[in-house]
Amino acid sequence: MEIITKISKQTIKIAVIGELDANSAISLDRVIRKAIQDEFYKIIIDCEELEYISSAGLGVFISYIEEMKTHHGQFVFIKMKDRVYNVFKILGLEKLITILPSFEEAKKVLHEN
Amino acid sequence: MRVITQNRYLNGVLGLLALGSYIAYCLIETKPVGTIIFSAPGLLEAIFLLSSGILIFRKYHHTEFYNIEALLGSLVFSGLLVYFISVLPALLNDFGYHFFRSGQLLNIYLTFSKLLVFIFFLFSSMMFYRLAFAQNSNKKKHYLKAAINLFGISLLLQIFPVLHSNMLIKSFFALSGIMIFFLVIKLDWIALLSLRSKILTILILGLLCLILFGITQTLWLRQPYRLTPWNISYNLPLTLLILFADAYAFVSFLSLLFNLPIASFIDKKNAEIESFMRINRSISAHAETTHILRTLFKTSMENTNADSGWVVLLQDDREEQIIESEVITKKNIARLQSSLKSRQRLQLNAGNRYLYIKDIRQDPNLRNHDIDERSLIEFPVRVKDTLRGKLFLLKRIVSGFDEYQINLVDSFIAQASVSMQNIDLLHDALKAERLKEDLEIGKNVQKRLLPESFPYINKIDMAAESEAAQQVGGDYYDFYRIDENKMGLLIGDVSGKGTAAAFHVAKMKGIFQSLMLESYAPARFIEKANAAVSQSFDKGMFITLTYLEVDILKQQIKYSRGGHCPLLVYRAGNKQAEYLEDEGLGLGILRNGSFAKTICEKTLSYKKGDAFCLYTDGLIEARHALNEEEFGYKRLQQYMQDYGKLEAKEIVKRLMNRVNEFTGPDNQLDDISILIFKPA
Repeated sequence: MEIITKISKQTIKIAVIGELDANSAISLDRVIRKAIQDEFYKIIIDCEELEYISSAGLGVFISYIEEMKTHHGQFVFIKMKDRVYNVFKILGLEKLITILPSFEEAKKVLHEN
Repeated sequence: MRVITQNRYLNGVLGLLALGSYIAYCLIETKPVGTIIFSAPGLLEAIFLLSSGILIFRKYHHTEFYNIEALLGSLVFSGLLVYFISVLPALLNDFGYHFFRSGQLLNIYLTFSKLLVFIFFLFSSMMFYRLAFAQNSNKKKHYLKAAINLFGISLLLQIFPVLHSNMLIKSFFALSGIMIFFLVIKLDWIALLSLRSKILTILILGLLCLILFGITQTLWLRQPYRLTPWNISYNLPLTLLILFADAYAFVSFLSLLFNLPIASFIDKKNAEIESFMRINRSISAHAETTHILRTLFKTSMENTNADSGWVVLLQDDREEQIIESEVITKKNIARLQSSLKSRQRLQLNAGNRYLYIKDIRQDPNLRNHDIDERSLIEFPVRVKDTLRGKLFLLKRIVSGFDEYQINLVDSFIAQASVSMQNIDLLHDALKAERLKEDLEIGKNVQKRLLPESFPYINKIDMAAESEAAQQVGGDYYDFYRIDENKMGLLIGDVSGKGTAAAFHVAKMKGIFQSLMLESYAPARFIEKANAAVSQSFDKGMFITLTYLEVDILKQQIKYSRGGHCPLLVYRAGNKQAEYLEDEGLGLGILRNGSFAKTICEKTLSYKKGDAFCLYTDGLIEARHALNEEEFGYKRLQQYMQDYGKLEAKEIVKRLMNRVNEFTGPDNQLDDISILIFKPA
């Protein structure tokens, strides 16, 4: 399940709740695609209540990484639990994306103050 | 065979007995004079009646009466013959032919015809009796017992005239009257006849009544050249038979006559039942929706006496398709349907069972159509809540369909809907079965993608096992013998699981094998594999991969990790297991040149007895059945420290069992693969 909060003209926050498996990945993909269509290229993914992420869930983020970059945007993940962070780390994704502890830091990185 | 022979033998004896007793009867027959104790003719008559009765009974007891007209017809025919024979002398005499001059000859002839009259009444009584119980078999026995008893008494009285008394005769007639009354009202068979056969049966029965009464009359009247008169109280068996046969024939004739006005209604009811059965049968004959709709249409047309109509089939993605129509042109159908559509939305979707236009010429939408029909009714055919067809019926009269007909068609539709639902279920079951077979085939194909046995490589002990969560999965491992001292080894996991992942695994096997042939070093191998993945997979699809190159002479491994779970190494020296957490990115995530920079290649020495554990994330993420806890890295590490000293095959087997115990049965969420190799 996702909770979407608009932050500014080009920044949006999506809170992903529960388990991100093959089924919920489809719904998340729809949400992100809609956000990009509406020209939100800075997307903060709030992982505070994300308990598990499967390879299909990771695939959703991976498929948009390059597109976001071309629009000078990016994903910023915040409040990620160790278990989820470990999955990102093993895949090598922690080098490609920004993972931060808090929402405030994410805003700072995205120049949203 | 023996039984049949015995039966025939018995029939012959009975026949002879009947004939013999009758001839004797003819020879000594005298009119009863006064009161005698024992009457020889009476005895002979009794023997005759009994033996011929049993003979007829045996012959017809087990034949089923399906054709009542034929049965009654045969009675009419034999009755006519008997009648003619019995009145022949009188007729001849009337026409002046004095053939029977000698009184003796006439007597013999008349006694002979009396035999035929006896047999005829016996035969018709028995046939009527069978008719009375054509349906009911339970009460039959009691009635039969009573009838036989009564008949037996009459025979006894015949043999011993001394028993005759006014009281006895009166009570005998009273009993017979009751008995005959109860038998005569058993007319169930009339209901089974169709209108046509009822009319035919009335004619036959009328004729039969006339014949029966005619014969009775010739017996009754005392006339020259006629049969010896029949004394009601002195020939009780015959009286009984005549009473029953005449009464039954007459009563059935009357009831049939009074039954005629409602016969057509009963016919209609029977036709409706037949229609229901037809719709029911249509499911087993042809498992097709169109066939059911066609049957439904024909049945509804017949039972409502509609003048014209049509039926359409609706399928999810297709246009309405007219399956069958009667006495109406396609053009008219198309025009009527388009005019109806606007109304339909208003009325049919409101949950109405049908749309009824009582007068087409008064209807605002349909008024302009130049057709003969005046009333139209449309029924939706629904299966569960989806509209599967539409049934249209038209009549040339205004308000052509009454409540009864509408309800009837409604129940036909309900029946058809059940049949269609059954077909759907059947199709679903077949589809599921086919899918299961397909997956089973996929499973077998995929098994062949993984190496079944490891070719002999000097000083290496190796084992592997893979379990897919679904029938097929996204895990893959393989190896390649570079030379007698070197081999390449890889384990990988395609994102996602199930059929899609399995399909990509098949694709990757081709890519990996061609890369292995080039004997690339691990880093280069990973780089090349990433390029291949980037080209042939959709965005968002990725593969994690670890590639190892084992050098047996140098006792070294060189490896690169492409985002795959870290390699676990067990050292025999200190009995410790550790993860090799090096940098590395999954394949297909970065699809440009910058990927090469992320690759890291390392070299590691090993000693005899060490063990390398390669696995997929399904092992780490396997969840406990109850508390949802993950199997995790720590458990795996501990396991390798405890069991790393065993043979490779044993390590794999025990680890797989351990995980299965942990997750519990049927709780595997992701594909699990384990590969162990040990330098020996």
